[in-house]
Amino acid sequence: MQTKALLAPAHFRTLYLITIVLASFFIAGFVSSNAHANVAGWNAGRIMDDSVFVNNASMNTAQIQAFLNSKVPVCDTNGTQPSEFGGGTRAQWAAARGHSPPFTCLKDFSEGGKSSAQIIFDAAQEFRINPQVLIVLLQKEQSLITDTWPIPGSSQYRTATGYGCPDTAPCASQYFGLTNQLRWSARMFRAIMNASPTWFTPYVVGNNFIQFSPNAACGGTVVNIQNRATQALYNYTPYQPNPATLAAGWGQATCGAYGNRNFYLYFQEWFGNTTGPDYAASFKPAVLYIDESLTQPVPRAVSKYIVTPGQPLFTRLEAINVGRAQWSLMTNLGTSNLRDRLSSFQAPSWLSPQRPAALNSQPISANESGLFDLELVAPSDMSTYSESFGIVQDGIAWLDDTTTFNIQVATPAVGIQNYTLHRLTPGNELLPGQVLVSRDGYSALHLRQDGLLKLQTDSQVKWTPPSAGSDAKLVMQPDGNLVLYSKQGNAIWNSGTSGNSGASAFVQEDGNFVIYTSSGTEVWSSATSIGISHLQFPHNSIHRSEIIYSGQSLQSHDRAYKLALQTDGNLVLYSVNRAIWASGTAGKTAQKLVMQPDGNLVLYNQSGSALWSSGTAGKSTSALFVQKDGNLVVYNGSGPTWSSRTSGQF
Amino acid sequence: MKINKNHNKKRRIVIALSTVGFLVLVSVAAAIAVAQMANNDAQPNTPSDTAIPESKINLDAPTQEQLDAAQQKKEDSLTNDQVNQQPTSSLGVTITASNQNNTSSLLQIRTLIDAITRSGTCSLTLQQGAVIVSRSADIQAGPSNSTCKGFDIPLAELSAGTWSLTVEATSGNATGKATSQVVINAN
Repeated sequence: MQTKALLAPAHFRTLYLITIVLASFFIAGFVSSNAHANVAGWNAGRIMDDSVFVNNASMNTAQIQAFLNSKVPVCDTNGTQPSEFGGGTRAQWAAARGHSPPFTCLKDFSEGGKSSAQIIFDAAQEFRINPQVLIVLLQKEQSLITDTWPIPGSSQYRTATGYGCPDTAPCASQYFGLTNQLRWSARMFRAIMNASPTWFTPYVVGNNFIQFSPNAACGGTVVNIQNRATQALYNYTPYQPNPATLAAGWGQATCGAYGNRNFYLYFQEWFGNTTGPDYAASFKPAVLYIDESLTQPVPRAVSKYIVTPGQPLFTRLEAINVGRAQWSLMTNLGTSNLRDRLSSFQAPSWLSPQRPAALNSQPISANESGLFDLELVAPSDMSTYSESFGIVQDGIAWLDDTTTFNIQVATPAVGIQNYTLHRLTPGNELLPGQVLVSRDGYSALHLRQDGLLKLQTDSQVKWTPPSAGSDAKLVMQPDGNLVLYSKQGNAIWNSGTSGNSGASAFVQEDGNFVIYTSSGTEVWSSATSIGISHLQFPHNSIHRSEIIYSGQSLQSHDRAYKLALQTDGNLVLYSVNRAIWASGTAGKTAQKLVMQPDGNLVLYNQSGSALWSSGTAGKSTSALFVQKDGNLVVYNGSGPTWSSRTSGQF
Repeated sequence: MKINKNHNKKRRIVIALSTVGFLVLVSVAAAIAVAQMANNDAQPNTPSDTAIPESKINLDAPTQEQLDAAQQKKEDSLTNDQVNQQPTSSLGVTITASNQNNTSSLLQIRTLIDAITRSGTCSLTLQQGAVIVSRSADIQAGPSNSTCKGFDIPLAELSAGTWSLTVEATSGNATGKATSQVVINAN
């Protein structure tokens, strides 16, 4: 009766069935949401934010080592455990395939005297890539992070990041080894992050057709790749997971490609979100120069710049916007470490004591580069300084990355021997061994130790007065006369410009050495102007309608390669060791090399006849670059139209 | 009959109690699921202008799912190790991008070649009726594939309309070809 009062049997059965169905639904849904929780944020067009991808400060070597230790609590070094693939123990399974213990786990592995953690860290720092990205790469390509018995001599270490292993041919040996593999991968990632004009990728930032698998029959979709980190990841694994692969969580599916999905899953579970902040920057390496046109690098000793008290220093900082938000009027360079500190190197051009410079131009969108022209003036206190700068979106946020210059301020005797101003003001003296350098760095007035004063442009002597012997000095007198004195105090040469109180002498960018009165009137010159200022063109390139004349040259940013239009008529590209390319026009009296508006690079003689050309007429506005990789390249828009094919030659 | 009736009654009581317990479990599971969904919904609304994203270093032992995925990858890798692969005589070529960029006034064409090829050339042919625009470029090797070194065609060379697009890659004796169409829109 009691039971009957509760429920009739028929009703009970119905309720029971409904309950089971509902329960199954909820439980299945709950389990399913757990299994796929980490794939939920997957975005095929934005697998990872650039700022996360380049965060090379995410882990130090000790943290990497601790992480590797945690993923392999016990390494089966001798292979005594049963093989997951059958065939007895792991040692027996390996022996059947020609391998034998010890099986060295990654946490215990070393190469070239470095631990694996150090190798990972070094590659990350060298190319400024997040070491966590490299760790996940090692796992998704060869399972090295979690493997308790990696097999020596197999592809696991040989091609640890999968670099250089084609789908249809044997692996390439020049890429073998953990260090090589990590460096090649990180180098490629950095090239893509820097939008290197010499590194081409199968995909662009924008719309791309990306297959679901190497099997074209599996199909694919158009994916709008939104940033360079994602472009770099697809350059590595050029396929996207199809919906079934994503639905499978960590599992497999028909037509599945797992590289990018597993990269995303491992990263999320081990290191957290792949999304970075809205405002983020990645600095490119920068060098300090003694001249405003950035042609003469400041000398360095053991990674420190050596400068003299009061010496002006110049650089152009380039930073990639690796965030999501646009940089604007409010984006400035700030003193960093500590943020907003007062710097001893403040120059008159600074916006404020904590804001050295503003963006050269704005807005700067995500994936684009912003430039900051930075000027420093060395303090009078002779010491070693570490000057750091970061980017701040004023009123909103500091951006994480910083760039640092280590600078030692020393006396000229301890530091550089040459005094590197471009002018002598009233009362200034030029002493033996010192040099006045034009702002573009191509012309110099040098008082040698033997007393010979020489004015040079592009290493050619343009003017010299009689030698004054050792211990001579050149004095810009307050009366306006410039006098070269011997050791005994005899005037060996003078400009004859006394009576112009306050006059100064300048080594100009056009090669002329000129004395101007305080009102700006020229009262004397060496008459050595070459009729053109090198400031008219960047030192490593010429653009539309720009010209190099005979005797002039371009140099790569790192000064390792020089393109010279020689007075013998030959246009020659030199490495530090030798000539690596030439136009073959020696003896033909070439006068100028012109980057023509039609895109053709042409070498002309004095009568206007073309002696050599790049053959790129009609390819629209172009520019010629002497690149740091040793290649001489004419670019049109975003692509090269001609090159000397000398990349990598020394 | 009487005995059976008592037996059925007891069974019904047991089943009824089980059902109630089951319903309680279902309710708890549902509540957790709803809470989880609510939590997920809240995440995108987090202010992010100045917020530093969550970062962690997980020092736990790997999960079974991670180990299973890793084992599968290891097995695939070691299996491929045992295969004496021979260079192929054909190259799989895919046209991955053919984008009209009005800002740079270029048609950007990109390709994927399914083998690492450190030498060779690509030839591009764009054809509209009797008009043919052609280019050639070297091949660049990538980590696990190759690509033609980019084709950027000035839009000034291409009239509006549909163009047929062919890219042929050659490396040694191996060749491959891909075709597509691209529509150039008038600026």
